[in-house]
Amino acid sequence: MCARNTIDKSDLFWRRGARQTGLILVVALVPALLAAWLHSRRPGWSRDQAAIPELEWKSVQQSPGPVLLVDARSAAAYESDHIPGALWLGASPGDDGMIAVARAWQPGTRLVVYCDSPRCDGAQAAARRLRRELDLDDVVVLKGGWSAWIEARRQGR
Amino acid sequence: MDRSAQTGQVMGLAGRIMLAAVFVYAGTAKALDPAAFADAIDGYRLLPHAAGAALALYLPWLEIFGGLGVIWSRTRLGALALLFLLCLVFGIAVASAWIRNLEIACGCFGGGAIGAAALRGSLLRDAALALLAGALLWVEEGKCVSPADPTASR
Repeated sequence: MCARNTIDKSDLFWRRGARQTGLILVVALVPALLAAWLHSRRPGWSRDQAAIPELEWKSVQQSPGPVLLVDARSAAAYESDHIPGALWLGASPGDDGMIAVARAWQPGTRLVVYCDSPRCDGAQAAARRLRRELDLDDVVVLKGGWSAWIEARRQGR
Repeated sequence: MDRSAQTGQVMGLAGRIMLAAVFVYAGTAKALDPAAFADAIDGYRLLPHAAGAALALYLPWLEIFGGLGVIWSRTRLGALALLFLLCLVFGIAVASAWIRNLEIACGCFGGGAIGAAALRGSLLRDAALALLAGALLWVEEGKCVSPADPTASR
């Protein structure tokens, strides 16, 4: 319905627009609140709880700057084999690989953390630890972890 | 109704459908993974993390309902104004990232390519959407304030 035969049609027009915009703003709140409560991929409210972004090996290779790989598996798994150039961190707070990572890191370097497979969550925890303790922003997780890298190597990528 | 008015109506409808499709698609892509969108917002380094997280939960739904609102005549005006404002805000954020040489993805559709060229592309797309929303808004205003055609907005 439009304003007709009124002194200030433009004013009514914009008031009607503001009312409709307000309605949309309120309606959108409902699913947003439900998502904040129930969504499996809801963001954390503090930086420490935030999910670390995951990148495919191909995207890691295409990173614009230098990359430092960080192995978040067990020490035995790392000793047995690891991605060339990767440093071992370990997933528990007692591991002292953090100092080695801090020494190897240079400004502009992206840290790529990996654990065993898509099902492990050690890389996410280690990446959050690196962000928190070294105050770094550019920390990502290798999607699929060690098993994805093995598969990429098998396919010659 | 003459031919030019009919052409105008068809173009208006096509513009509204295009705008709605882009925003509903963009909103849905982000609503599926709000954590990734929160990371994308963090990348802009404009807001504290908690504010970015709240925005990551709310903004996708605003885009979806804004897009759908453009289709329905009773919410069209408000939805167009909202989408126009969103385009302006997105444009300012992307331009600031581009000026600061941030190596980030726009996050407009829940991810995307990283770097200055990608941000320039996003800025152009955003400007085109803002123009479209602005033009449709202008048409809506014309419909309502024209005393010559009292049925225009029905």
